Amino acid sequence: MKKRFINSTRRALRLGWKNFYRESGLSFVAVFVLMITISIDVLLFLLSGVVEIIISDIEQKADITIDFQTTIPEERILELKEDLEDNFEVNNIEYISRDEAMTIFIQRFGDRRSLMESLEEVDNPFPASLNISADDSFVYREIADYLERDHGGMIYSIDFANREEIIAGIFTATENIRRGGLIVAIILSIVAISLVYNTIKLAIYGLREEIKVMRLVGSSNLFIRSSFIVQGALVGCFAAFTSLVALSLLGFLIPQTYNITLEVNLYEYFLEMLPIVVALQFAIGFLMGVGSSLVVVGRYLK
Amino acid sequence: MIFFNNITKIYPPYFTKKENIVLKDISFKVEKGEFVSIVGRSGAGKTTLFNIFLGDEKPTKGDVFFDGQNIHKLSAGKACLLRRRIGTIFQDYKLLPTKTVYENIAYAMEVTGASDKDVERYVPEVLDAVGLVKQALHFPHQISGGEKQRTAIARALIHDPEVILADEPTGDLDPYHTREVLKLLLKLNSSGTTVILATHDKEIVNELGRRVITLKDSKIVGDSQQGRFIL
Repeated sequence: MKKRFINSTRRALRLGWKNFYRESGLSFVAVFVLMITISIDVLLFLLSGVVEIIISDIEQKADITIDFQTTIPEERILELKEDLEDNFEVNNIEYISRDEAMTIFIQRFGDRRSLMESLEEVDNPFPASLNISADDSFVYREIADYLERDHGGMIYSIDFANREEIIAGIFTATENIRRGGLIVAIILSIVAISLVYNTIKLAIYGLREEIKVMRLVGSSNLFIRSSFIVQGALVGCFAAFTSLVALSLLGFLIPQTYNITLEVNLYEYFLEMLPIVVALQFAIGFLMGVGSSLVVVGRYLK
Repeated sequence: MIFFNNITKIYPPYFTKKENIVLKDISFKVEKGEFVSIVGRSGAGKTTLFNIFLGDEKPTKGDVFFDGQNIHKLSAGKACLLRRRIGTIFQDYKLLPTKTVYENIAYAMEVTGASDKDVERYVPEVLDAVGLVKQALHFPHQISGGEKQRTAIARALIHDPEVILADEPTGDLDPYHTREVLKLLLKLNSSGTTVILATHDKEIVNELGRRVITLKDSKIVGDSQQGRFIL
């Protein structure tokens, strides 16, 4: 049984490989079309990553700051921080003490003598604050309402009312970009998949007479399928490889100094994503090559 | 062994308004080890009869039994096992165009699960028997009609089938090779292989002097042991 399985597998590999190189014109077209499909999918994947980084960066900048009265002790502010973290859907709350606020000010404006001199005249004038970032703009409205209602006495100011429209606008825009991107990705993927399916269908349509002969000489459906699976897998792997070469050439042309955001460099992002991209390319190539072959051969074997 | 029971095959009308009756109420038996010639003019339905026996076409009415099994009620898996017991020489050769002569013949063995060792041993022997050693590595489009026919014959014989269906196997052959093929079929038959030969070649049928089933106007008009070509 095991020997028979090994024998059949070896034959399927041999027949699949021979079909692949003997029908080189057909294989070339199939590889080319699949390469385009894989490249579109991978570029969409990379692009969605870049867009997500930019969107997150923008969203993080759309935060709110709560300044406390200078008389409020640190323990109470930290208790409130915990309270907010427990009861609201926030991404991050950063506590900045009065001393830290002053240090930040000095770091930023230390070269302005007049400011520094006036600062020496008074006790630390900076309030302690909480910097809050969340995924949705309505969370900010809830927090602002809650603080004004239940902790109004502690609060010196909340910079939300004057930024509310801008923040809501940013979130609406980023959400639209995400949705639009998803729709574009789905449409392009459907176009790409149907392109590959129809190319392989055309290729195998020419082989339908051959499939019929294979059956008439006693070949089992599995034996016929296996060689076409190998052929499909080879098309997929070659397509993935050519897509990888094309994408790498494109990737290494990215200027190494080009930054997506303050923290993220595009070239470094590309290098970081490369292993995932390679895996994705071969997975898509293999699945599409084998899947299309199976579906199309299945139709002629009915 | 083989029983065609009341087979009728009607093709629906496509270009004409009239349906095309190819076979009508065909019934006959073929016993194990028989040599039967099915004769009739071109278009008499000989090839259709073979296609029905192979399960490639369904009869409009009637059944075909092979060793008691109704061919058209078999699962795909059982149908392929049955086809491995039959060696078919197709009128239009039906060679696989992307495989060499050697590979076409080897394929019929490979599908049965034969080992590589057996394939490497028997394929050259059969190639030698049909005189195609020099053409072994040629593709079908690189060889003549006669050579294609001999390749089809070699493919039909390679897996030592119980039944050989030969549809006009000498149509493209010169007199020398025609005689060789007939000798080969008779030799196989003498060793117990059932042979069903479809032909419209009067000389061959008369020379064989075996059972002859005659088809005319979609019906059997004659079935005689040691028959002659009477059309």
